[in-house]
Amino acid sequence: MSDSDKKEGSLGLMKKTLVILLISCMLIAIFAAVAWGALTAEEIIRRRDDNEYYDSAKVEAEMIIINRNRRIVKTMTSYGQGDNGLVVFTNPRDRGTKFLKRGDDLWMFFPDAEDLVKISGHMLNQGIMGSDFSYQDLMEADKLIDLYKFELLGEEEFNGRPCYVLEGTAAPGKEVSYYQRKSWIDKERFVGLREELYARSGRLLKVMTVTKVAEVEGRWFPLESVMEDKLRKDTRTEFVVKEIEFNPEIPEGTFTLENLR
Amino acid sequence: MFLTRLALKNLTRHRNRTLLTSFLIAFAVFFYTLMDSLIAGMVEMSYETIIDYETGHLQLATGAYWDKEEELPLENLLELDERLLSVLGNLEGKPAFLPELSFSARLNTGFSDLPVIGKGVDSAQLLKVFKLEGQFVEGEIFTPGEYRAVIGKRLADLLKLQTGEYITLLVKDKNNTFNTIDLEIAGLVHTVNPNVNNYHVYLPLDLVQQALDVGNQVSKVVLRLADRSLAADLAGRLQNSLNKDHPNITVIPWNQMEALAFEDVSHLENQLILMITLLIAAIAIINTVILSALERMGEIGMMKAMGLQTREVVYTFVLESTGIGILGGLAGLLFGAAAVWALVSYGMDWGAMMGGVDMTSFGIPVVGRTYGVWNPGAFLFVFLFAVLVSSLSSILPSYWAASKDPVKAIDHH
Amino acid sequence: MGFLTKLAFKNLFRHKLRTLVSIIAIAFTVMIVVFARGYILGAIDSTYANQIYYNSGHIKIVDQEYWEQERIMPLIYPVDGFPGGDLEEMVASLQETDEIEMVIPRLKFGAMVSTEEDLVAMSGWGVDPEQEIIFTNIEDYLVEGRMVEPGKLEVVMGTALLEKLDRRVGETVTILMNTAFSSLRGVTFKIVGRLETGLKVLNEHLFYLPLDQAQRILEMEGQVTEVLLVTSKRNLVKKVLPKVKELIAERGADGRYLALSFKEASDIMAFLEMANIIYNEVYVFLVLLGCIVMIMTMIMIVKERTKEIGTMMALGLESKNILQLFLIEGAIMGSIGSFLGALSGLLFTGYLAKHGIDFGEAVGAFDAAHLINPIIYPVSSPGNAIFAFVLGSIIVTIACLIPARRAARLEPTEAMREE
Repeated sequence: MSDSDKKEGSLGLMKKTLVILLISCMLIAIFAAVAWGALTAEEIIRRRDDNEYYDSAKVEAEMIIINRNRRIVKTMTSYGQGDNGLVVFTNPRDRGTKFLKRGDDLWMFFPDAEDLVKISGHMLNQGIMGSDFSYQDLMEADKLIDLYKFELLGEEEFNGRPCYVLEGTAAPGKEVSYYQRKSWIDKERFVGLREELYARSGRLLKVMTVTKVAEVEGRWFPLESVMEDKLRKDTRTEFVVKEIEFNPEIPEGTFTLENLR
Repeated sequence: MFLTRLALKNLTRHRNRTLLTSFLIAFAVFFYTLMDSLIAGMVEMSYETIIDYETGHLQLATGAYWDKEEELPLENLLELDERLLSVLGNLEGKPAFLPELSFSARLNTGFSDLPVIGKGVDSAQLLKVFKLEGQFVEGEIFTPGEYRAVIGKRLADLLKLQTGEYITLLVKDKNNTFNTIDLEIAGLVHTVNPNVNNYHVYLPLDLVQQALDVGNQVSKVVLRLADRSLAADLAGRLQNSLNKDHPNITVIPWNQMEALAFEDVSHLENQLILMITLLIAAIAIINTVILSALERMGEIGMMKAMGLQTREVVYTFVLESTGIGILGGLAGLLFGAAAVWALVSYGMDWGAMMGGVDMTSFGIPVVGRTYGVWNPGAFLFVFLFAVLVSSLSSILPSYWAASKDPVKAIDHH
Repeated sequence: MGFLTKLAFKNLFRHKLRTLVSIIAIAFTVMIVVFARGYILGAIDSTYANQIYYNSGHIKIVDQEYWEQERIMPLIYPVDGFPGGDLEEMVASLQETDEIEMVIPRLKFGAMVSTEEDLVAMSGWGVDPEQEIIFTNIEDYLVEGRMVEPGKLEVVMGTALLEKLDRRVGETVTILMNTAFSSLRGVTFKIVGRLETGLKVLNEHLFYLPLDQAQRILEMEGQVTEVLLVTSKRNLVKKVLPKVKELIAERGADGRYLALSFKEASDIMAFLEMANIIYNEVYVFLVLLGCIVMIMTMIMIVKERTKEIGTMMALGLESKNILQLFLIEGAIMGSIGSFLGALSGLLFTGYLAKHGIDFGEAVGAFDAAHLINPIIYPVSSPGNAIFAFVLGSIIVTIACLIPARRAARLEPTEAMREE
C-alpha cells in the first residue's frame, strides 16, 4: 500500500477531528442586526466576515459526529483571540487533550505524551488526499473575500427566513479547497444559514445547514449547525454552541505553550 | 608426451570405468544446467510481476518528483514537450513508452468508498507497455476522451461493482481544489500483481490532465524494452542525451526502483541449491578417483617398476582424470544444452503438470508457462568445476598410491 | 546365510580402504540429500513466510466489514469474541480445534508522528510479544535492542522508519493515534528495538507495541482487528479451514466473521505455488542424482572384482550364492553408510533449523536490506532422515546386484581373465 494510502487511512479520521474543532473555535459568524439597504455581494460577505473578527470570545461547544449508526459526542471549551485559539476538551474520552493555535502553527497537548506535538500549517496539506476539510479550509474561512469572487444571485427564502443567495467562485490563482460556494445569508440578521460547497466539476460535496440561531449581546450567530458530506451516505457532523461569551476575561498567558501543559 | 599417451591408453584400457565416471559427471552437469535454467526462469517470472505491470524497464521523471514519489504529488511534473517526445520516439529499438499521470483519489460508489491510485494513461500505449491485454476478466479497455475506466476485479469485488456501473473519483487538483471525475467501468482486470488488482484505476490521460489542471504534464514516462538487461545501459545513454535540454529529468532503470522490494527471490538462496548438486557430483568424482587409485595399485607398481617417478605417475593419473572430466563435462553440456533449449523454446505448462494446484483466478491463468533462461555463465562454470574437481581430486590418492613400495604394490593384488 | 554373511564381512574387511571410502561416500551423499530436503523445505517456507507471518497466518479471522475496508485499517469492526463470549473465550475455543497450534491476536491501526517538517504516517501492530517471537522469529531481525514487553509503553521500529523520525533506540517518540471512538491520543513510547529485514513494510512503515497497551490506548479492551491461526504444517489448512468455519457457524458468528486461508490472502499465491513446485522438482532431481551416484559407485566396485568373482566360482561358489554375497555386502555398506549419513544429516539440519542460515551476513549489511528473507530455516524432520536411510540402503543393495549378476553369468575362467 502506498504511503499516501496509509496517510489517508490514519489521517483522514484525525484531520476531520482536528480541523472541525478548530473551525468551531474560529468560525463564529456574528452580525450586527442592522440592515443596510441594497448591498453588493462583496459587502454582504464582508459584513459577515468582519463580524468574525471579534476581539475575543469564550465558547462552550459540543460536536456530534454521526457515522451510519455510530454517534460520538465531544464537548469542549474554547477561547479565541485574534489569531490565537485554545480548545480544551471536556468529554470523558478526550479529557485532558488541548489544542493551541498560534498563527499558522498548531500545538497539541495529550496527557500521555511527554512533549507537545507541533503541527505546522503546511503539514496538514501536504499531498494529503482527504474528503474532509484540510487546514487550508480553515484558513479559507477567514479570508473568503480574498479567495473568492462573489456574485449576488438573488434572494430566496430558506427555512422561513429571507436570505441573500451568493455564489463565490475561486479567484484565479488562489488555492482553495472548494471551487464554488453558495451561501444563504439571512437578510436581516446577516447570519449564514446554509452553505453549499462544490468541486470544480460542479459536484456538490458538502452542505452546512444552520438549524438554530440566537441573539447574544446584540449579535446574531448560529447556535446549532450541521455539516453533511454529500458523497457519503449517513454521515454528518453537528455543532452545538452551549454557551458563548464575548470579550470575556481571558487570563494572560492563556495562549502560551506553558499553559498547554 | 609419453605420459600423455600413457594416460590416453589407460583411459581406453579401462573403458568401462572411464565411461562410467564420465557418465556420472555428464549426469551431474546436465542436471545442473537444467536446474539452473529452471530456477532462473522462476526468478525471471518474479521480476515480471513488477516489470510487466508496474515499473516497466525504465522510467523518466523530474529529479524533484522522484524524491516525493510515494506521495503522488502534483508538483514537479514532467512536461511532454516536442523535444522530449522526439527523443523518446527516436530511441534505438523504438521501445514502447507510456506517459503516466498518477494521483491519489477516493473511489466513491455512493455506498462506500476506498482510497485508490489513479493512473491517467493512453489506452493504446498502456497495452503496449504493460501486459494487461490478456488479463481482462470482463469488458475491455477505454478509448481516449471517453469517461470510462478500468479497475482490478479485486477492487471491484470489494466495492461490489461490475462492468457498466458508475463510479466517482474524488481528487484534489494541483491547486488543492476538490474535483470529481465520473466514470463508467469499462473493464475489469486480474493480474499476478496485487497492487494493480487492488489499487489501480486506469483512465484516459487527457481527462486526468484536465481534472487535475496540470496542462500537458505527466508524472512519469514508462518504457518497455525488448529485454530487461538492456535497461541499465539505455538508462545511462538516455540520461546523457537528455541532460542538455532537459537537465531536470532523471532516468531510472527498473532494478533501482523502490517497487522491486515487493518480492525478490534471492539469488544466493537459489545458488545454494545448485551448489548441492555440485557437491554430490564432487563426492562421486572423488569417490571414484580414490577407488580406482586403490584398484590400480598393481598397475602403479608396474609403472614405477618400469622406471617412472612418483611425480610422473601422479601426472599420468591427473591427466586421466582431467580427460574423464572433460569428456563427461562436454557430454553433460551437450545434453544440458538440448534440454535448456527445449525449456527456453517451449517452456513448462503448469496447468497440465500439477493437478490439484489452482493456477487460475476468475478463470484466468495467473501463471502461464514458465520458460527457461539461457545462462552461458552457468554452462561454463559447471564445466570448469567438473574438470577441476576431477583433476585435483586425483592428485592426493594417486600420490599416496604411487609412493608405496612398487614391490608391495604389485603384491597388493 | 551365516556362512555368506561371514564371508561378506571378511571381504569387506579385507579391502578396508575400499570399503571405508565407499561407506564415506554413501554417508556423504545421504547426508547431503537429507540436508537438501530440509533446506528446500525451508526455502519454500520462506517464500510463503511474508504472507503467512505478516499478513494472514495460515488462517485469518476478521470481521466481514473489516475485510472490505482493510486498507484504511478501521477500528470499528473488531474481532472480540463469539456471541455470548469474549475474546479470550474465542481464542480458547479456537486453540482447542484440532491441528491448531497457535492463535495469534493482532491489533493493527494507523498512526502518525510529527517531526519538525513532516507528518510521518505509519501503522502500529499491537501484538503479544512472546507469541510473535515464536511465530515469526522476529528476534532474528532485531539488530539492536529487544522486543517489546507486555504492560510497558514500548515500541520496536524498522531502521528506515527510525531514520525518517530521526530517532535512536533508547530515545522516546510521541505517536499520534485515533481511538475506536475517534478521539485523538498522543502517547510517548520508549524505543527499545530496531528491526532490519528486507520487507519494505516492516522497515519503513511499521512499529510493534504490546497488545495490552494498544487496546488500552485505542479504547479497544478485549478487542483486536484480526486473529491468526497457525497449524503445524501449511498443507493442513485445507483440512482445518472447514473445521474453523464450522466452529464459527456453530457459535452463531458466521454472519459476522470471515475465516480466510492464506491462499486467499494474496494474488501472488499462484506464483508461489509454482515456484515451490520447481523447488520440489529440484529435490527429486537431487535424490535421483544421489541414487545414480551410488549405483555407479557400486557398479564400479563390483566390476573391479570380476576376477575375484571368477576365483570364487572356480572354488565352487554357485552364482546364486555369489549374488547373495554381493547383496549382503551391499546391504552392509549401504545400511552403515546410510545410517551415518542420515544421522549426521539430521544433526546438521537440526542445528541449522534452530539457528538458520543467514544469507544476510554472507552478503553484507547493505545488500541484505534487499533480501526479503535473508535467513532460511531448514526444516528438520526425522521422517526425512529415515526415508533417506531406507532409500540409501535399498539403492546400494540393489546397485550391487546388477554388475554381480553379469559377472556371475560369466564362465569362471573368463571372469578371472577380466581386468
